[in-house]
Amino acid sequence: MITAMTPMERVLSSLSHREPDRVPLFLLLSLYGARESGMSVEEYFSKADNVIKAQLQMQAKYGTDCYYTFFYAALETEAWGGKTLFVPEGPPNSGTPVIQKVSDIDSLWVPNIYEVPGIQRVLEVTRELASRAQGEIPLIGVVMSPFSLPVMQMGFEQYINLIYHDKIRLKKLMEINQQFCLDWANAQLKAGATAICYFNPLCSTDIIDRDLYLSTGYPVDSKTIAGIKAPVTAHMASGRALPIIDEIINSGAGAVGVGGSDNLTDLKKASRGKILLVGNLNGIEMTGWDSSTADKMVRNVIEKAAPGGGFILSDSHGEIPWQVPEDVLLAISHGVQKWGRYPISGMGEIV
Amino acid sequence: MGGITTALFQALISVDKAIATELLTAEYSKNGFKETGEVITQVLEEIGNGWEQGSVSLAQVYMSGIIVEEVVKKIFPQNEEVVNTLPVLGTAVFLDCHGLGMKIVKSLVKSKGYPVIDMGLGADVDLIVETILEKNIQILLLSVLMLPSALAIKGLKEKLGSKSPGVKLVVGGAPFRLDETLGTQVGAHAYCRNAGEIFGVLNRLQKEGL
Repeated sequence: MITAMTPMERVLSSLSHREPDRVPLFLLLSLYGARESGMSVEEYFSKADNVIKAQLQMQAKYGTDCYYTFFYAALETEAWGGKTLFVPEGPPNSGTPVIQKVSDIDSLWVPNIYEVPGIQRVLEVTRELASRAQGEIPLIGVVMSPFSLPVMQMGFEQYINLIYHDKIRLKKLMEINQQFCLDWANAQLKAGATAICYFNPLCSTDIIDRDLYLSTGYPVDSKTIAGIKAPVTAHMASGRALPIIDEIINSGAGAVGVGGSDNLTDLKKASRGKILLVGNLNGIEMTGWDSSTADKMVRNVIEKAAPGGGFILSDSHGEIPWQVPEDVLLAISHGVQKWGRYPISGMGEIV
Repeated sequence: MGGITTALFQALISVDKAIATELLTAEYSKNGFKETGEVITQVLEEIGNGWEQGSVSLAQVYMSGIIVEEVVKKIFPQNEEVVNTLPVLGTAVFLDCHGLGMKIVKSLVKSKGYPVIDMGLGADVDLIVETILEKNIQILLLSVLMLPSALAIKGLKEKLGSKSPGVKLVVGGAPFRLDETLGTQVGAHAYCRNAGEIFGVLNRLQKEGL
């Protein structure tokens, strides 16, 4: 029997590919805090205090092994003057793209993150939660990969055309985004974040073919991850990771957030001892689960991916939807207590 | 696949517009409009399946749709006889502002000659119902990115039921891929896991009667 660990010890042990007392649980609760607080999403994210209170309450209530300081993805485009569109009971969207035409890239600049009010609120949340955590609960900060951010900056269609047809402007955009990403990630670490979740759905072969990624985004991602002064989780935000798992490992990421369509057993074989897996409960399906289904799903994922350590149970997208019933989150939390105690020898065990 | 279909598949996923143009021009000269349309359908369905299985990326699906739409516009004459027998399609990105999926679907259906009324990004219930009534849309193709938008389709369906009950509703987008029961939950007549499935769905709906 392994002595009970703090969430930090549990996570660090998993990151080192050793077996902790039990599987760590990362319930990535961002806008769910608004639901828990009885507020609209817009009101909730307008004050750091709202997020601090909700993160503290939700960590205690659901037994999740981290604080999650992520607000919403569109926050980063606010740094270039972009507007965020708030919708009821869902993640905010980025408004009109800040890059209207590709030639706008020629005059694009690296924003000063300390002049962006939304970013300041995230840093305030990070500082306060770090002070409350006292080194016992990890804080997960979030950045968008420089390679994925342009989907919000200029729209998906225009960005795909840029990748195929305008390598010079693509390079300039990557340089700007990379500097912004490093400033933003390292500011969160300075404020007390323990690790950075690096959202990069574009690198999944679901979105861009492997050869094109290796010649465009991969060098940018590798260099950026190397410049982040803490462990990085490369997160696919529901995309497949398996076809590029070796490249993700070589990029220097310590963990990878994997999609629901990934084969966990194959991923476990490919990642064992090399990179920690985070995932991969289906957040959308979760909205229709009951407690019994949640328990079954938790057990299934744990048996495939947890043996030997190197695994954190989480969802596959990086955010729990508003519509997931509270009972289901509690059942996931109970499930990890029930099925996640090490040693675990499941169907994913590799002899 | 074999011959022309294999070659066209390769040209499209390599984003080689020149070869795709050459192949489709030769096929049209040799076998005419109908056969060339069948080749296009088969290849685009195959590309959609490839995305499903992980061998083709979304960027390749998108570029294939764009290339085919451009080439077809260039080499096919307007075929009034075909166009007049096809139902009017309405396309919209419902409440959301991410239009890539719908852009791909539009390219595909236009390449087959379907008349398309596009309601654009962020279309809401009122705009959609009004446009359907005004333009006699028979099949509505809706795309969403966010879960709340997918769930809101139920309200649209209810309003359509009272204003224009004959319209068939086809849905697609990330939430429907991640939860295959969602299409039924919101009352859609069909859903597409990928853009290439649209031809099969449209054929089925047309056979069932509009």
